[in-house]
Order: sequence, then structure tokens, then C-alpha cells
Amino acid sequence: MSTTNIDDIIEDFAEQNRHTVKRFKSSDKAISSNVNIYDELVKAMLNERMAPDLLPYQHKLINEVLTKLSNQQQYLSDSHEYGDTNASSGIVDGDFKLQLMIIETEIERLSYMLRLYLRSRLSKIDKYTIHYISETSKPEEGSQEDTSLVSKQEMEYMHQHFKILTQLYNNSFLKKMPHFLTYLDDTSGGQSMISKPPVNNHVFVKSVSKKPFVISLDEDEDLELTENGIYVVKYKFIKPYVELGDVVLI
Amino acid sequence: MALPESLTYNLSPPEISFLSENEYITILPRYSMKKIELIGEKIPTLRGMRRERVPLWVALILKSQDKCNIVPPSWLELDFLKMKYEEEMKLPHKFSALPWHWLEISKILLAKAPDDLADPSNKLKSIIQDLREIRLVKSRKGLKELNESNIQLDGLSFMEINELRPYILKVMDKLMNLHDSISRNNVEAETNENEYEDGEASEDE
Amino acid sequence: MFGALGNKLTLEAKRLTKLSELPQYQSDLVRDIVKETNDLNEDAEFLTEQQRQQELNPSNEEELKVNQCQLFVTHLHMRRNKRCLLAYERTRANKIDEFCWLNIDPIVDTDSAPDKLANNTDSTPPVSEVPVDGSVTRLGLNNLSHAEEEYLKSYQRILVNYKSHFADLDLSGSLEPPSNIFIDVRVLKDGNEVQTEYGVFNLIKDSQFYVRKSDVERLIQQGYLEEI
Repeated sequence: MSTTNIDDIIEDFAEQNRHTVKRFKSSDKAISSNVNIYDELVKAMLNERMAPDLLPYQHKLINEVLTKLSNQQQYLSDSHEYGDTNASSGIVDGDFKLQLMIIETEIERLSYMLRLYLRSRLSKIDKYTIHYISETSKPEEGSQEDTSLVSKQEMEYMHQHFKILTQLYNNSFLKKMPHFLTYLDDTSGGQSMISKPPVNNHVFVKSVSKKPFVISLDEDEDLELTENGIYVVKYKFIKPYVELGDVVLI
Repeated sequence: MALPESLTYNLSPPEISFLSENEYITILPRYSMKKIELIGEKIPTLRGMRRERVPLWVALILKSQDKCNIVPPSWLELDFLKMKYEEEMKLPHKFSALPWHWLEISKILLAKAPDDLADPSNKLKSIIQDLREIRLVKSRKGLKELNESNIQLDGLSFMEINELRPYILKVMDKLMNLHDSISRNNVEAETNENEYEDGEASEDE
Repeated sequence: MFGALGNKLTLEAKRLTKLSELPQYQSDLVRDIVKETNDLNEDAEFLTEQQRQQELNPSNEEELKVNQCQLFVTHLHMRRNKRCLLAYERTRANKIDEFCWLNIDPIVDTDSAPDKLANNTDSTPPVSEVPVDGSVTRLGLNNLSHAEEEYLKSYQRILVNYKSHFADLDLSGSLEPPSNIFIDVRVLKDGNEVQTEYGVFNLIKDSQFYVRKSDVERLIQQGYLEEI
């Protein structure tokens, strides 16, 4: 056994480790340092705004944005304090102020997008409440904390909102009606009372996948999507690719 | 509702303009400035006359305080835009490739950094208007061929698409409904009788 | 006529989606529809009983068919009434929700009629951020039914709870893009010293500053500053 062999083994081992680290990083989209979370949030917000139904809550991304926002706000207020105490000594110059202004602007921009993201989701939850209550009560849903369709807060909001709506209907008229008419999830009489997201509606998508790929549409029709191509298709055909990140809704 | 109706499945023009400010642009700093650790991006230490790429919204703040000049993108130039206009004339069924945010970025730069542009603002404005109009006419013509399944709009920018959106979606969803009701009628004709009996059964309770 | 009352309520629901405040609750109409529905139910029970009799001795098939048809229409009518009531109340609830998101107080005024609310200058009108048709900008408490008033309070509580998870965010904040957070201003007339988080500046005529817009909005209104 020569020493070079051992060196080789060590190097191999190191090499392997590097690979695993790399793999780990690339699979961990939101946390990986080369992904800009600002851009990720823009994408998540647009997808959510334009999708007719609720997309899975971006647990990792939103938590990360919230943490970074709060840290940055802390930094900002510390810096303002620092600025106040040192204003007379001349240490603080105009550039320092301007830098803080840029930081505050970014905070405002991110908060705005997050606001739109969260409120788009709530408005869909409000529109199709009964549908999402039944979707989220399926056993496979909610078993994992970070992949569930709705966040814990949204789940709470949804159930509370449904409860007070039901109370409102009951107190306003339902309780005075014949008993068989008092259900809200009635599907008899030829018309379902449960509104569902219009997944057949058309949406605008932009393909962001480097490789062209083919999706199937109604009646054995196929469509090839190439990078940066813009298409209008029925949402239900493109939804899986939105979740994979091959296309973005615009 | 949690989001006003006007903002569901729809973007406002100010929103698209806001999103375009996330695009990167080259600046030529006039002074040095320490680096800034932003949440999305690290703005590197700026040194006088050394070019950097920064998000447009950062560039606009620096520009407003005379800290930098903005290097206009290569497409925001009279000759280039004229060439694109020629292309639009020559190819009646195709949109010439312009950047995703060409309309908004040119509007922003014309308003906030006109002194950094290579060509006179009024000339740029008029060629941009010409381009915009010829593309609008083209897209209207293209819409005549809408069907209920899918269409392709390569070459159009975000703002242009957003303007067409309400019309396209309305027509395509309508066509889809018509299409569906025709095919459903065929099926229904056969099952109608059964359904009627089912309906009655439930009414009996 | 069949469905006339329900139709009236549906039209009212449609009308109110375009209003910037909630009109008076249509309690009479709602009560009439509920009563009509209960009357229809009595008819239905009578018809069902009659049908059972007819089926026992099926002598007149024609009569049976007429009866069946009448029963069917009566049921449709009841269900339609229910849908109209739900649609009406849901549309109003949506407006109430939207109002709660504005995070402002409803107007408490026991005297004014609904249509006179516009002249009510006591309450400060909210800053309308998006002047879009159909967006709620104000809400008079006396236009709500009792059940709706309860609903408003409960929804406000739910929102406070939801928003508490995002304390740094101001979820009720403006939905207009924040594009001019900092602005250049020029001083129009002399005044006092102004303190902001970004330092102190003096109102000296013709001097210029780069400031946070929200810090100086009042000074702009008062005519000390103008945006450049």
C-alpha cells in the first residue's frame, strides 16, 4: 500500500462529499444561496395572482422572506438610532442615509408583493371555501407541515370564516326555511351549491424551461412549449408545469 | 373579499411598471459608495466610472440623487428601434423580438433619465409610439384567429399582453363554453331520460 | 309570477356589486321570500300526499302527470329562492369583508337615511387608494341587518387574528405599487425644523430635500413643500 492510494481515497471521499453537498443545495430551492428570494417571491406572487385555483403554499420561501424582512427592519431601526446619535459628529454622511433609503425601499417592495401574495390566496379561499375545506381534510393533505396546500394560518382563517358565514346565513334566513333546504353543500336539484375553481379557464403562460417540452391538450392535441414562448392555454393542462417551475403564469 | 375584484386575474398598468423596475440595468457611478446588503441582491461597492449592473429601482434612486448615470440598454436607440419598425412592416404575421419590458422601461427612462439617452427624447418617443401602434394593429388582426384551445403570442411584451388579456380570455372562455355545450348536448341526448328519472327520485323524499 | 321575488333580490345583489357602499338591507323582501318558500313547501307536501293517493288507484294517468309536473316546479322554485337569498347575502358579506380589509371604522349614524350618507361630513372619508368602480370605501352601520352587524364584528376579529401572524407586514396596507417612497421636495415657505427618521431638516424657502413621502405628506398639504 502506498501513501498515494490513501491520498486518492481521501480525495475521492472529499470529491463525493462535494457532490452530495452540491446535490443537497440544488434540491433545496428556496434556501440555496444562488437563488434570489426577491425574484422567487415575484414569481410566486404572479403565479398565485393568475392561477384560477390555489397553488401549494410556499412555506419555505415565505418563512424565509418573513425572517429576512424582520432582520432587515431591525437593522434599519438600529441604523436610524446610530444615525441619530452620531448626526452631530459628522460620522454619518449623506451616503449612509441614501443606503438606508435603498434598504427601506426594498423592504417596502417586498412587503407589497407578499401582501398581494397572501391576499390573493385568501380571496380564493373565500370564493371556494367549501371546496377547499374538503380538499384540505383529505388524509394525505396536511400530513407534512411544509408541503400542505394551505398554511396553518390560512387553515384557521378558512374555518373561522366559514363558520361565521354559516351563522350569518342561518340567522338571516336559513333557520326559518323548510329543513331540507338548510344545507350549504347541497348538490341535489340538478345544481351543486359548492363552487369550484374554474380550472378550465384559460391563462397566459411563459415557458422558462431551457428544454422544449410537449403538453397534451383536449382531444389528442399536443402543444410544444419553447423557452420564453408565450401561450394561452387552459389552466388544467398547465398546472403541473407551474408547480414544477417549467412555466410561469403572467 | 380579501382582494378587490379589479385585481383578481388581472394586473394594473402601474403594477407592470413596478415589476419592470426589477429588471437589471447598467449604471455608471459618479462617486464611490459602500456596498449594500439587500435581501434579494447585494449591491457591490460602487466606484466612480466603473460600470455595475443593478436593479432598475436602485438605479433610479441613485440617479435621482445624481449619484450615477444610467447606461441605456442597447435597444433604446433610434436606429435600432427604426430597424425593428421596418421588420414589423415586412413581416405582417410576426412580432419583432423586443425585450419583455421594453415599453415600461423606455417610458421610465424617458421620464427619469432623459439626459442619459443617446438620442433626443421626442424622436425616441415618436418611434416608440409608431412601434406600439403597428404591433397593436397586428395583435388585433391576429385575434381574429382565436380558437377555444390555445394561441401563441411570442414577441409581445408584458404590458402589451396585459392589454390584450381581458379580451382574449373572454373570447376564449366563451368559445370553450360553446364548444363544450355542443359536445355535451350530444352526450345528453342519450342520457337525458335517465337523469330525469334520477331527479324525480330525489324530489320524492 | 313564479320567482318574481327572488329575481328582485338577485337584481338588488347585482346592483350592489357596483356600489362603493352597502345600501340598506332588504329585510322586507327577504322576509317575503322566506314566507313564500314556506308556503311553497306546504303546497309541495300537499301535492306529495295527493300523488300518493293517486298512485294507490291509478285511474287517471293524465292527472298524475299534471301533479308530478306541478310538484317538480314547486321544488325548483323553492331551491331557486334559496339560491337567490344566498347570493344576496353572500354579495353583501363580500362587501363587508372588503370593507374590513380597509381597516377603518364604519359610520355610526342613527339619523341619516342610507342615501344621505354621502353628505355626512362628520366621519372622515377614507383615503381612496384605487378609484375603481365597485370597491367599497365606506360602510354605514345602520344599513346592516342585526346578523350582518354580528358578522362584521366576527370577521374583524378573524382578520386581527390572521394579521397578527404577520406583524411586520401591514397586510391592510395599500395595494398600489410603492414606486415613489422617497421624493424630492422644494420648500415653498419658511417654517420650523422638521424631524424624521432620516434626520432633521429646516423649512427654509427654496431649499430642496430628498425625503420619505409619508413623512412630509402633511407638510405638502399645508403648502410648505411641493414635490419636484
